[in-house]
Amino acid sequence: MKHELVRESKTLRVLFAHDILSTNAESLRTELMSIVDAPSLAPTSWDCLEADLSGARMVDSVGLNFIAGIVKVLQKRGKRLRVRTASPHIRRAFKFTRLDQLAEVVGA
Amino acid sequence: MSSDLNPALGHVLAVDDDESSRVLLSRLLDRLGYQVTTAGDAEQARNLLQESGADRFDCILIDYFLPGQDGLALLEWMNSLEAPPAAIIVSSDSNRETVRASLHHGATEYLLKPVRASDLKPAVATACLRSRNRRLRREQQTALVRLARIHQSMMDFRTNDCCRHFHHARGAVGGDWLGRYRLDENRSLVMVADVSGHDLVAGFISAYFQGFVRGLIDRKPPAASLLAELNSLLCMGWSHDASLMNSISLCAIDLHQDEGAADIYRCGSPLVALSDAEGAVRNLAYGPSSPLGWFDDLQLSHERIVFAEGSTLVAWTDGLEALAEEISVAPLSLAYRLLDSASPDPGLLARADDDVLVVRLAATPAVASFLPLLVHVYPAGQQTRIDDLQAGWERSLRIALPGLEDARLFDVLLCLREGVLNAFEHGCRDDGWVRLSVSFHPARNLLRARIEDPGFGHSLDIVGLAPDPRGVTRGRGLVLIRDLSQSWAFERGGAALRLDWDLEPSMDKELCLK
Repeated sequence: MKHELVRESKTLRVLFAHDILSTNAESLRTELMSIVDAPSLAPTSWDCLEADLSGARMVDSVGLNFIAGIVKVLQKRGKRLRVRTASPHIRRAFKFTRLDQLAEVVGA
Repeated sequence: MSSDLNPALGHVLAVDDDESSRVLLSRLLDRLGYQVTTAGDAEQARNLLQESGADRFDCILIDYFLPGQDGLALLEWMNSLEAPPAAIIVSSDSNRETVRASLHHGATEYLLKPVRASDLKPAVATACLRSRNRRLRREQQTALVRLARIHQSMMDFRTNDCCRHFHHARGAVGGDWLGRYRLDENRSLVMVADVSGHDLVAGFISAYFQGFVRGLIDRKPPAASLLAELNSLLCMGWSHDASLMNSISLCAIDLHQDEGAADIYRCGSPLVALSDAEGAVRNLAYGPSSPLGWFDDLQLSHERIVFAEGSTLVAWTDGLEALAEEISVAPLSLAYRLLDSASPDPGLLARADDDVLVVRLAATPAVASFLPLLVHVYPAGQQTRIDDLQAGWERSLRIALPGLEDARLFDVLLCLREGVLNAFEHGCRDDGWVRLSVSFHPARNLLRARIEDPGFGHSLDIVGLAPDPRGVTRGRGLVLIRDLSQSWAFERGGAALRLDWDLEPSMDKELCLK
């Protein structure tokens, strides 16, 4: 999972290269948390996690749960989530499940 | 010397500008038993071939060095004819390049002057044989093309409003055939058959059996008896000699229009699919069956169905099934594409290893109806394969409806995924199953899916289900199903879920927040 820290905007960008589905959500969670909790990443160096979903065509309900779970973890740490996607399908799924009220959703 | 009692071995045209050479060749060839015609230059030779016809000559001997147009130029001209006689170049020039050029231009042999009888005899014999074989192949090809046109014409003759078909023969002629027979004003019989093989032999057997069926039909036999008689003929008449073993995989559909019913019989053919007026799709006549010609005691798979207004039957031969497997799509999706495309995709058909025949019957052609796109029955425990299953649905829907927009397709796929997973998790025990069927109503541009399981259903109210933005995670799948489909309904007390999508691009459903 590629990631980079943009210091100017205090944003940790993470690229999701594939769909987020019931079959890979757990492994994605493990991988993402290892990035977020990496000792080399100072907690104060970022306050926004930007999930780049440009590599994903689809997010199912378990994938949405994964997103919601990430929001909770970040909220506890005083951080926020931004989701970047150009897929109208994913944006619609976020809207219908009101996840767009938990995370900022922006176009690619 | 040839005569009526000793017909010539062949007719040779000898082209040489030197008269003594022409005389020598004529004598040699005459002694060998050939009829000979001579020409003094390329122009005379061309005139003879054009006026008499190239078929008149079995071999042509050409001097390399001719005045005006040389031997190679004449040879090149001859190659433009449909079935030119084989040619031998004759010359006093032994230069290797001259020999190579002659053979490269299609000469069968290169003889050095002065020509000896011992060289001339085998060269001319070989050339004449080659000419005859070439003509025979041309005649066979012409006959094949004509046979293919007759075969296709007979199949097209049987198509009408109720019956639509697509046929692709892998070779010039195939063994698949469609027969439609009217038994009386209320009853007709449709046969979708596949003779083993896909060559001229299969085409011949196919034509033979079509005639045989036509003869039996006049007695208006019950379909099962007809099939038993065909099987008997095949077993006794053809297959007793193992080297002649042949078989016919066949599906017979006995339509009873007055009763709104049909009897489906399968003899080793793929499953037949039925979609009803509500777009529910299922496969018919599941039981084991054997092709005609294998066993004396024929094993039929039979099912009687209601075939009422708005119903559609689809039957196909295993060539379609094999092609569907080759490109990893559902057979019904491929059938829809082949039946309803303005023009078949040649790239798609190039991958067919067998003849392809698919037939669709409408109970009431005047009534627009749902057409089946796919039906799968998954045994319990398949949820771990959900990604593969979903990929298969996507491929199938894309092949059936290539104009389907990505955004709408992903809504469909996500709803199917959520619905099928729910059915596996909650409606399906270890020995259970989940059936997914999808159909399309072209007149309404409506895609319909049904997800069924053998469970007891539920009383879940998803109308009022609204995810709590503060973090409730339960029910998101049902919310997606509810809100990403155009309309939905539970049937059978919740054990079946019906989903609809209007495929008009402008029909983008917005959430009504409660």
